[in-house]
Amino acid sequence: MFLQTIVNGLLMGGVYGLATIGFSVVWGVMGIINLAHGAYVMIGAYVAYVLNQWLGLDPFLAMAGAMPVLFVIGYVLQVALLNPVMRTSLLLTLVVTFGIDLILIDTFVQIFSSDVRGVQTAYSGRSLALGPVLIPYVRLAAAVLSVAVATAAYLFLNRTRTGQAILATALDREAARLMGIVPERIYGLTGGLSAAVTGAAGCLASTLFPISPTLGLTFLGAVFVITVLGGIGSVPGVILAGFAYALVQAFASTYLGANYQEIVAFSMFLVVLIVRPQGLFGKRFYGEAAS
Amino acid sequence: MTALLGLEGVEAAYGESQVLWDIDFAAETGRITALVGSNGAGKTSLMRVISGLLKPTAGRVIFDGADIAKVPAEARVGRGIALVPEGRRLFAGLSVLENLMLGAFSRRERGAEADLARVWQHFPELEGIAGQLAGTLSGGQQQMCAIGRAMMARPRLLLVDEMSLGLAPVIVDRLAATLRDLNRADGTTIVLVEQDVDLALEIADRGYVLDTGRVVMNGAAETLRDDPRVREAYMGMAN
Repeated sequence: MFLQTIVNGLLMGGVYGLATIGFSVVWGVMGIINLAHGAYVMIGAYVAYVLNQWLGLDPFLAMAGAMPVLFVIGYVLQVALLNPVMRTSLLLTLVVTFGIDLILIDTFVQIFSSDVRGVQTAYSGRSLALGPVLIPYVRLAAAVLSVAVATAAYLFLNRTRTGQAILATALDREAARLMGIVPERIYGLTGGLSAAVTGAAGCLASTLFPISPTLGLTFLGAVFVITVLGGIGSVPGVILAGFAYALVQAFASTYLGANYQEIVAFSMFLVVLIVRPQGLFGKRFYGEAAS
Repeated sequence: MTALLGLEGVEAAYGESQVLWDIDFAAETGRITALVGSNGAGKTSLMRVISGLLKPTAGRVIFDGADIAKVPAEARVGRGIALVPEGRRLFAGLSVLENLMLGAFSRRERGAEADLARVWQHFPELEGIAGQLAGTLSGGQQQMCAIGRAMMARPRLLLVDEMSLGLAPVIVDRLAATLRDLNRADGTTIVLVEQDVDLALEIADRGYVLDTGRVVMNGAAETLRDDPRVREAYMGMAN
């Protein structure tokens, strides 16, 4: 049971980590705590559901469709609604993103109703048996793809010209302008990329969680905890923190009962905040926007 | 000699607080112009106006014949204006090499390898620590990196704000030699803001003295250096 619990935790951790990257980067680059972030997970899951129902597309392949859709949504919301308010006050950005979250959830209630839906694949329910440990194929694929997308996001930020511009803007907006970087464009791009990566996590989540318009609320608490644990703006940090969070949840669920998994996970969050407020894994950058 | 940069009747403010009044200023093509004055005289504010970080409330900023007063800072670097800001403002969480490459961002990094070679030539110690985070460098190394980053933009007008602040004299001498070389070998026009008036007027061809947001004197650097009022007020020397 101990080994199985570790495997269960590790398999879920990648998805939690992937779902958190965008939230963490937006917080680090722009100082925005995006309360609509969970809705991006939900929309990604619905895109996977619709493509699966209409075209019979595998939900993992649906990422290719969900990411561009979410990029456009994230970019437009950032440029039209968040750029104008992001340098006013934290409270205003919280109110605006909360409003966006409510609108997106209600829109999906209108389109799909509140009914819970699910995505089934040919390999749903099948597992790889390694001795006493069972590894569900769906969870294994989700974990592998999570790490792959997270690695791509990390490489994009650290190895490309645009990624460097994003990091530079996070560190010093004014100095970035002196390099010829247009911060408003970088913010739009960051908002779009964040939503796209989160949409990919939503596709993966569609295979693991029941899909409903409130799916994002399940993730919002988790991504907040994982961001703080992993260090704001740190892609490797949030991936590691995602695994830590999921492992704690898995052990709490196995040994204390499913009702305790959130309590234990959030208690861990409070302990880390008190003992190591900069997060478990430090941070790659923490710029003026986030201060 | 024509002026690459000219300011005509420039005024600027931070909110309600006006910091520059009716500034007329010119930086001649291929020359070094010093901007000196005591703390709070408005030197850095004037550099921010020239680089586009501070919008003037009145007046014209003429660069290469065009009024750029309304052109934002991020577009000015593409026109050939680069600022080495006060306090260096390196991207502390990025490496030396990443900082330098960002200097070439406005050129989409075209031909950056040749520019990088020139930076290494001027500051060979940076090449050995290219992978080190800029935030961990010494003050002198940071200033070299900041000047190198500006060089990567291939500026026609290089603005250098308080280059010598907090640095050892031997480092300041090296940085000054680099500026002279950029000016003489490449023809880069330089505007130098310095509290070290002696150093600034030694390097420069012309000078402007600012006091409480106004230009109070200007002329050939040599003339200013010998002016008893400048010597007494800014160099701590009696007549």
